[in-house]
Amino acid sequence: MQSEISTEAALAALEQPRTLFLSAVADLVGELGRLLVQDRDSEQGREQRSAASLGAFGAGRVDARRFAALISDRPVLPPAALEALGRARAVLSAIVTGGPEPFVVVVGPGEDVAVAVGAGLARLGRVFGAARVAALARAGAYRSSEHASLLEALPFARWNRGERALAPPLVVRVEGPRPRLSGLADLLNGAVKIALLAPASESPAPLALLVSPGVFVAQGSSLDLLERLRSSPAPGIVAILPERSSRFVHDPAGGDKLRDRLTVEYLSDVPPDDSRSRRDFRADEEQAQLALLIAAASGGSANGQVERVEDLRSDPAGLLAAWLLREASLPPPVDARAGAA
Amino acid sequence: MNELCSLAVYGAGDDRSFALGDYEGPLPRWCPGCGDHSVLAAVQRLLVAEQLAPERTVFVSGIGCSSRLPHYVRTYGFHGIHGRALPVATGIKLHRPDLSVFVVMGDGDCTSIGAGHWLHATRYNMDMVALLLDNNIYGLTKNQTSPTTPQGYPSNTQPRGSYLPALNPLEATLGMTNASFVAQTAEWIPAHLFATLQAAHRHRGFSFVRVLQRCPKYTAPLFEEGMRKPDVIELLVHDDGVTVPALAGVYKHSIHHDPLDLDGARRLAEEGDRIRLGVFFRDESRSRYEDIRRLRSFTAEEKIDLLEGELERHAV
Amino acid sequence: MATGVDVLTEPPSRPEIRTIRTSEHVLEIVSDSGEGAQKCGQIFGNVSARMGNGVWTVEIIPAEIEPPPRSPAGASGNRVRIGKGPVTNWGDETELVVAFNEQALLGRHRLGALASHATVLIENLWATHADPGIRGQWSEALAEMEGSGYRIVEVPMEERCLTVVENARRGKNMFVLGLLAWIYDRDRDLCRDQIEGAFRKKSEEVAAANVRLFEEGYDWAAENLDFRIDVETSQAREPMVVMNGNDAIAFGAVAAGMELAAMYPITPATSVSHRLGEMFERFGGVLHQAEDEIAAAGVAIGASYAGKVAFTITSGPGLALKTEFLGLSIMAEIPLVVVDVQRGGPSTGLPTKVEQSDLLAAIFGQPGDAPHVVIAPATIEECFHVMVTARRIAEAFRAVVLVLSDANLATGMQPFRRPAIDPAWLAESPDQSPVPEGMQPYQWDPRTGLSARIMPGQPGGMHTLTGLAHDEASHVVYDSSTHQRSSTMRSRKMAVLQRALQPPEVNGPPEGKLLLVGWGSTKGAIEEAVSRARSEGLSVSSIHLRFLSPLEPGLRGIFDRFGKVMTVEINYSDEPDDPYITEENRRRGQMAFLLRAQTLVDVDCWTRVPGEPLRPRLILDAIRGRMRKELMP
Ligand SMILES: Cc1ncc(C[n+]2csc(CCOP(=O)(O)OP(=O)(O)O)c2C)c(N)n1
Ligand code: SF4
Ligand SMILES: [Mg+2]
Repeated sequence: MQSEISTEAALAALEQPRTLFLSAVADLVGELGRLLVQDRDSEQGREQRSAASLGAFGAGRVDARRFAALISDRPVLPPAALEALGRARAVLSAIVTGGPEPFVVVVGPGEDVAVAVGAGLARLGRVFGAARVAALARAGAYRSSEHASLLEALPFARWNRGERALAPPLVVRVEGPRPRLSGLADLLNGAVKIALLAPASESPAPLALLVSPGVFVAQGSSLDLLERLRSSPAPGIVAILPERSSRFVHDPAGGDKLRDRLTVEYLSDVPPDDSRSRRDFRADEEQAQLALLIAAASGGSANGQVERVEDLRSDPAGLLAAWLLREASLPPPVDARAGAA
Repeated sequence: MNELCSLAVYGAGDDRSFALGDYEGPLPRWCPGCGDHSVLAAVQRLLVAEQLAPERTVFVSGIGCSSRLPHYVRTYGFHGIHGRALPVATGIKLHRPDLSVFVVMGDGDCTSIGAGHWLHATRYNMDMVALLLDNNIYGLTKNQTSPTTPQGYPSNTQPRGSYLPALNPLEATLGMTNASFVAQTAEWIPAHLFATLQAAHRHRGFSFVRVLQRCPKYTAPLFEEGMRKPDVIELLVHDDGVTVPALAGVYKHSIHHDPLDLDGARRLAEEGDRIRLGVFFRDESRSRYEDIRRLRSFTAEEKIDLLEGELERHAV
Repeated sequence: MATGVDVLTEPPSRPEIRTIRTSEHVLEIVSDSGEGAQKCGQIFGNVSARMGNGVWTVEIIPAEIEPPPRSPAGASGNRVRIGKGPVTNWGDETELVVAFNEQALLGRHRLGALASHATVLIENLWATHADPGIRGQWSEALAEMEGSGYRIVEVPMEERCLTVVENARRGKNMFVLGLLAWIYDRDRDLCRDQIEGAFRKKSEEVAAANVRLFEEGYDWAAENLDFRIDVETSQAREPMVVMNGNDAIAFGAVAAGMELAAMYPITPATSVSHRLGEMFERFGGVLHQAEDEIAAAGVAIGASYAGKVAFTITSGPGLALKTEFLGLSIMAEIPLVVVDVQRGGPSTGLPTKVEQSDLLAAIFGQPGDAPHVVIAPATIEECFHVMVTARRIAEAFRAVVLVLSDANLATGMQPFRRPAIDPAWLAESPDQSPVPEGMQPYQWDPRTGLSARIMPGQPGGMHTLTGLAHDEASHVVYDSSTHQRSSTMRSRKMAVLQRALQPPEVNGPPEGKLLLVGWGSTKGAIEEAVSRARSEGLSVSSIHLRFLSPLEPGLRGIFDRFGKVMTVEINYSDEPDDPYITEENRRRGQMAFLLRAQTLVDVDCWTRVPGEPLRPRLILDAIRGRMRKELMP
């Protein structure tokens, strides 16, 4: 029996990219710390700091006053800017020392996963917001009326390319049998990596709808998938599901053709069943999508199925699938590395 | 992590986009017709294609005609000392994995004075692109035999012809433990040069590219044939390597070679009648030195706590 | 047995115990290498420090890893000097030796390490060994030491250890610690703690066995020995730490906020990297073991160029290999810290032994005009703090700072004031903000030569750094005026630094007949010799230099107040009365050479290359000699 993968295990598997993110934050904390000290005080303070920075070996050997006079300090910032810097720094250091909690999102039964993940990323986005506040304050352009909200949250849609490239990984624990994932596609870029733990899922292939050329998408029940997600340069999502779900890996590193990227290890044999309730429609659809992908990947005729996809045009997932099918014989327009360089 | 990829750097990564002009530096001072001009053009094209932020890209070189290249690219550049570009690049990358690093070396630079570093950098397999601009001669110092000068070809130091068989940089790199990307291209085939540079850049690991480079001043005859007779060229093609369909019309000889096939690569790298261009070997699963375990950066407060704890261990 | 050597084979029936009271004592523990004498010495030193003694511990290291057993050249162990007050050097001759065999003892005897009144505790196993060869060696060795005046006490080490453990070779050191603990009346609980701490890594059982060996030694001594040594303690008022100089360098580097060190293994510098490797695992940072010293310098320079100041650690032969890169670092003004833990040279020289022969190479070794900073810590404590200062100066001046340590500091252990770590020591996170419009990579302030550093990642700062002659914009320029100007700028930084330095303090009266000048690890020995000389009524003072290039200011003024100035160094110089030697051709000590050139004072020197730290008494003899000859007609 595959034992359930804990939030802690998933966090541990994705520690390296989280470390990268936190390092960048910690380094900025250091940088701002210097500004806060350096720009604050007087001639005398500079001399004292010079003496301190030269250490005990320098004491009595290097004249701190003369030394201080040689060192060009950064320009003195006005009090309002310093105050903003201080607040930005507080936001940043809270993240550095605050433990893994902000990197875990829990989604209740029936809740929309994309909404919850979006909110989680927006909350983490306050780190980038704080970096922007710091930059604005240093440039003298900080206006609290306009910019203070950056210290609360910054929605993913407003992250720039550099910020996305540093996005921290998230562990998302989904309760309930039917995770609603479709909107996640918008969040899977830059360095975003999501470990989705859905131990109660009854969906056979919830991630099939997210398969897209530059994104690592895999579902299954083993921790190894998280290691592959971690080491992939692409953004991605891995769902850890109960054993009976389908298992597949879509790895952009595989190549230009869908057939090289997609490996299906196991196809759940939950049959499309007319007698099932409307709620199960989505499950069928996912499973069908996976089948379509397999057909496309193996180069077999998918005509009949394409028509089914056409039928699904009314919803975005259907559109995605249709596009995928078309794409299957074309080189991908999106560069897998561009976001993660 | 100890490197300084502070958030401020990422913050700067706004949504700019870069055009060729953003990467152009001062006018190069190589001889007219020198192959280094083509390499420069391809490099700049690559920077545009990959949209690499100029401030987060570093070109590191040694000393030689070829090592002038960083001066002509508007990114950061480190024009160091003869033969030692690779250690410098290693240091940059160890401290700053966030930077894209390109290393530009001549054949004397890389395969002679810097040969030790070349082998070790191959084994470290850090994520960078290493270009060996091989004109088979010492250009800057005016025509001395290099390890890659073909046997019998005269120079100022071996006027009756180079005594020994030329060193084959592909064989040497392919023979080194943990090599992960080995390719050869020719600067006079710009499409192939560009495609190879792009493959090298996208490969995660140490991407070694030997660029056959014309030196009209000292070794013009050595490249004549390769330039004029497409028949002496054989392209290695593969989805996982370099494929430039447009070239198929000109270059009739091609071999389908899977870059994961190391034995095949070693056979193909042997000196033969044809000049083989393409990716000889590529394996992204090789260990990378920068992936060694790192801790996240600590804030000053955290560091001081750690230091105090450490002093406690030595307390009397 | 040999006459003149008082051998105590049979412990007399509990003689009266004589207690020798003294303000300081020098002891040694010597064995074949691998028998753990060093660990015994270290624990003894630590316990003594904790009890409030001043301590200086020096390793006695054979040049080979596994020299043949029972050979005079293989003597391995520790010298420990303990005292009431601070102890600043290893002293003169040893007064108590514990030897695991007579050959190790003989090795020390031949080096003149033992005082004539020394007490020797020696393993008695060899005297009656089944192998007649060994018995022969034993009697020959004792015959050679005949007449030396040692008091030799045989101890059945092996025999007693076998009552506790099966393999006595691995246990004698703790048995000996027990002996010493009884003799010097060390706190037994402290000893037990230390032993447990040292062996617990292996296993609880090993730790327990070693404690039992220690008790066995203690009890044996209590029952059989007739003397004890009482060295007064003066409890330290301030919190202290104890470590060796190489650990202190590693520690100091981390405290300075440096996060990358590149090196290639070379004695006696290597152990810095052992310590760093271990610390970086916990503090964050990279220890890069490069393919050679050239690459190590290149990696450190590449790292420094792109971020916080990095450093490279080496010893003489490695420094030679790094010279071209040092030139680049100086030319391109990339801050860099280089540590040279000096050993005996030239060439492979004396890898494990102390010498101060790299001074001139350190200052002038780079072809081309290559101004940079050279500083030297004088104590183990300073090994810690010097790294903070070195990093700071390197960064502020965009300079290469070369730190000259030596094998004596590297392996010596000494308690020192616990450093009060200051956040200001830590390397500044480099500024990654956009470069202001128009700012140049070498925007030299014409008055100081200083310029702000621009580093990769900073938008708008793109330029190509080069080791070729260049102008403010880092453009390669060959014209003579640019080269003249840029050379001036690089040189001026040194003058500016020198003007911020303060003159050295004079140890002793500010004027007199003789002034000794030292640098590096000889400080303790020189000052001890000076104070003894003064107590004999001689008019001697000393100064000890830390900044060697640029030199500390005010030297000429200080020198002028003394009749004679003489350096004391551990490097080679011709003696004035050696054959062929004249004023003109005499090769002088390296600091003397430098001071003569810089001050135009006729600086004399007394130097030795004994492959060991200078003994205060030899310096004292030199003082007496020179003063008699030249100053007291
Ligand atoms: C330590 C050192 N040795 C020698 C030189 C002289 N030198 C400069 S470039 C060069 C060789 C250049 O040949 P190559 O590396 O093939 O570069 P090319 O000029 O052909 O591009 C030599 C020997 C030097 N600069 N430094
Ligand atoms: S000498 Fe040769 S390599 Fe150098 S610039 Fe001229 S043509 Fe190019
Ligand atoms: Mg060449």
